Amino acid sequence: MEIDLSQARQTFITEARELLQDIENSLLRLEKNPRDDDTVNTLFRAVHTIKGSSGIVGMDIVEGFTHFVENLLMKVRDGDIPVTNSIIELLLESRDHIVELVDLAVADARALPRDVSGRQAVLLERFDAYLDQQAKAAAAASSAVEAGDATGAVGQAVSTDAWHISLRFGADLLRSGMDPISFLNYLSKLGAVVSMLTIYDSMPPASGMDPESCYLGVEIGFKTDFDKKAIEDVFEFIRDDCRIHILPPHSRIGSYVELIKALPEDAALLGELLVKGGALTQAELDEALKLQTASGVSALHDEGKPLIGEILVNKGMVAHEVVDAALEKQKETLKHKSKEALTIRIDAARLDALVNMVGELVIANANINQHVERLQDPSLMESAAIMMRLVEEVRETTMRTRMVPIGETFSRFNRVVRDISRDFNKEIDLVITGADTELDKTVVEKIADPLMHLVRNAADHGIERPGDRTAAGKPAKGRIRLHAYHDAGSIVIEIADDGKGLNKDRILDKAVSLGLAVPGQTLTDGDIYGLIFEPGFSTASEVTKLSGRGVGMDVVRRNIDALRGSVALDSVEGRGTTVRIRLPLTLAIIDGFMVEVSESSYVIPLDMVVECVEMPGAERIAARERGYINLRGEALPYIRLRTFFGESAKGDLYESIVIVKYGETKVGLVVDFLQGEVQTVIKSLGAVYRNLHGISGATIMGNGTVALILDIPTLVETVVKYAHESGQASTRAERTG
Amino acid sequence: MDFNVKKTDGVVNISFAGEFTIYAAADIKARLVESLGQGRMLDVDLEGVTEMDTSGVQLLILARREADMLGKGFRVSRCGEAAAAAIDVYNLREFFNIS
Amino acid sequence: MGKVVMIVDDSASIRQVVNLTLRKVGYDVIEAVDGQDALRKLASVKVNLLICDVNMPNMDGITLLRALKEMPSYKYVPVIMLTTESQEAKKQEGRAAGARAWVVKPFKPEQMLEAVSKLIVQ
Repeated sequence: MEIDLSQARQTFITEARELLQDIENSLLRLEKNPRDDDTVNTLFRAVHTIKGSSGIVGMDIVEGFTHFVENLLMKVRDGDIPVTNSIIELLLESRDHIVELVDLAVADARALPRDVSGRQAVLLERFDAYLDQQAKAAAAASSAVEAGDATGAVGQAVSTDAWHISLRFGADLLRSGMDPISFLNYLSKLGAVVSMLTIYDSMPPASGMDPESCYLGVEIGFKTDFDKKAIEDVFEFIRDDCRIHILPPHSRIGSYVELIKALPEDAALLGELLVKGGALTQAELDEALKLQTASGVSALHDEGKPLIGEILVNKGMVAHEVVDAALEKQKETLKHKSKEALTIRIDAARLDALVNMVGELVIANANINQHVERLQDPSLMESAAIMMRLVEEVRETTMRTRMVPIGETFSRFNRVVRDISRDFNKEIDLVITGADTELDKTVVEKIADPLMHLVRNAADHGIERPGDRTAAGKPAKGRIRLHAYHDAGSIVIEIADDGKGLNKDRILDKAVSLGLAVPGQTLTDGDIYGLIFEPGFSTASEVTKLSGRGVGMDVVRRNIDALRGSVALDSVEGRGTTVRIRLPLTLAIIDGFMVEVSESSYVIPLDMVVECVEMPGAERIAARERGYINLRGEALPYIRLRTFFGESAKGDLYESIVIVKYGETKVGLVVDFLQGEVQTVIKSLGAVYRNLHGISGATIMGNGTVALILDIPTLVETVVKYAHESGQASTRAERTG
Repeated sequence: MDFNVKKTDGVVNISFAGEFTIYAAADIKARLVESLGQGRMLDVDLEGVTEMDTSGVQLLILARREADMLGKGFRVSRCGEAAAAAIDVYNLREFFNIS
Repeated sequence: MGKVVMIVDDSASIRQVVNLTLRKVGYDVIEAVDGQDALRKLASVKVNLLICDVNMPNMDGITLLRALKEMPSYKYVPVIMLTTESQEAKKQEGRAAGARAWVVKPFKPEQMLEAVSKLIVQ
């Protein structure tokens, strides 16, 4: 039977990518704290899930390899293989390999390309090395156990670090089709049953025994890394029909007293069973029975936590931590669960469609408002006002649905920083704050690469080697801080390091030699650091000489510009560098400035507008001859939009100039009229118009007409190019246009 | 469920085949109790059992306990895979004197 | 011998997901579209577990459950009832009819696998 799995596959791909990120995070956490069992469990479950679901959706190449990773992790989880740096390294590489396999599976690859399969073979060999080692150790251990058996122990080792599970099955259980064997069998998949005692005391003599009723109970010693919730979940379906008690490892003797009291069987008998099963020692049992008969359970509570014997005190302390950890874990699971329940996955295209429609709604609403204004009907105006507010709210809510926290992107950098630290023998802490700060998903996706670049720069070139740092009187361990916060309708992301900082003089020298600055020019610190973002400012080979930065910084700025954001850098030599990126929260809406050219409306993104000035007739003539305009003594290249868009000149209109700034370049745009600020929803132009020069999108105005959104970066580039070619050319264009 | 009873020197050998489950529980109980009364030792052969559930295990417990009370012997002389799996879940191999 | 699971649901996609999930780990799966279809098919095969939707045309899940309780060879068969969170009243009714295991829709394949492995030993 062939089943269309495309949707399930899509779900799997999204899920797998998230899990792979979790895996990386877990491994990095484990590297810092190898004894963190919870993290090992998280790791194991993530790998397990990938294996399981990849199989279900038919991505066999993913399933195959992940299966081996799971096997290895199982040994790690069971404590058979210790957590070492080398195994973390192996697991990180394996994780990267799974990423690659998922990509291949997405591309519908049925077999592995040669290089990938080669890498996989090497990884698997390394797995084998671990498994072999472990097998030898296990063989040695089992012979020891056999020797122990020979001394005549009853068979079950006393294992006080096991959970104790007490079950009394309900009489009707079997009749309702629930067989405890299945549940117990399932339980054994979550860990190891170290002792199992079957209780049948409540079974009546043969004459009165109903063979379809259940009279059994069990006392189980159980070792597992799962938490109490997971153990409880095993018996989820039969919870209401059974009496279930679950005692965590190293439980207080009082808990056993309570258990014994709660169970129907005779106390002394139960006690014996618990001792036999290894849950209690004889001494502990004596104590428990004494407590039970003498002071009772309530006294136990009054006294706090009486523990038995000197050694037990210590054990009790351990148990406490275990319990706390288990509780913590449980809380986390709960938190995770509730989060899961509150989240639904939505196809991004559907969300986009919604955003689009809301855009139309906003426009239609503006249209209605125009009519309302015209009609001047008071009750209609009131209704329209309410509607406008609602539409506004709908728009904001819709935009918020696209918002995601930046944290996930941030956490990816842990790996980068770790790898660089290792490769260059540095010690670096990555501190992340403001991970909950939200912004548009599209923005998040597009900012990831520039951020990665900046983080890598900071780790690679900013932070010094430990020796250099201590010599400079700084702590050996460097620090990179990623911080995000909302500020006035934008999100600000800071990447700060406490490394060696930038040398202004060197930057300036370099800039002068490249013709980016003039010798003797007075520049502010901001101007100087801004030079770093100029195209061609530095290349990889020069980076180290320039104490640090510059690789592809122009690319970083270009990416940020494309998001209509800005980037600034601040540095103190010897103390560190901070790069501050400011981005709009969403790409779908812009604050614009509307202008009119030849009776058509155009929108300029407001954040690029510096100022608007009038263009007196005299200046217009002078400008034509000079090829630039004179703004308070500053020479600015300009372009007449009428000319640029090939509209015919209509005599001597009273023109205005909008000064726009892109990067460090200011140019003037000559327009017919200024219409003022607008907030508009950007609609992309169809594929046919995608390459329209100087236009980045369109928006529909309240009166139904279309306004084009000007692509300022392109326009500025064009203007500067024309200005370079000579004033003559631009004058000629003016006359013929 | 099929069964077969043989008696030699006071040892009653009862062998079961097929499903040793709740569907046959009433029948199994009757056979076991009946057989207990017919000799000094009950020998249960579960080699042919294809399926055993908790009610099956429970009936074996009942038989073993009745045997104790009546002062008779009890053992499971042969045990197929399905029966062994169920008995092992309850850790009752020793209890049933399975060799 | 592989265990046989029957999925009774009027939704083809639910049947497919269950079928695929369980087949993948070695169960044999039989599909039925409603209670009547299930009863018809149960007459000719042996099924170890039923997964059964509550709301179905022709014969709903709870009626099917009651019918099973009347059949000598199926009265103790484990049944997983599929329900939606809003069907709390149905859950009461189902419980009275003997249903113990519930899986809430929508479920993930591994949840279904988990539920099945709790109820039958493979």
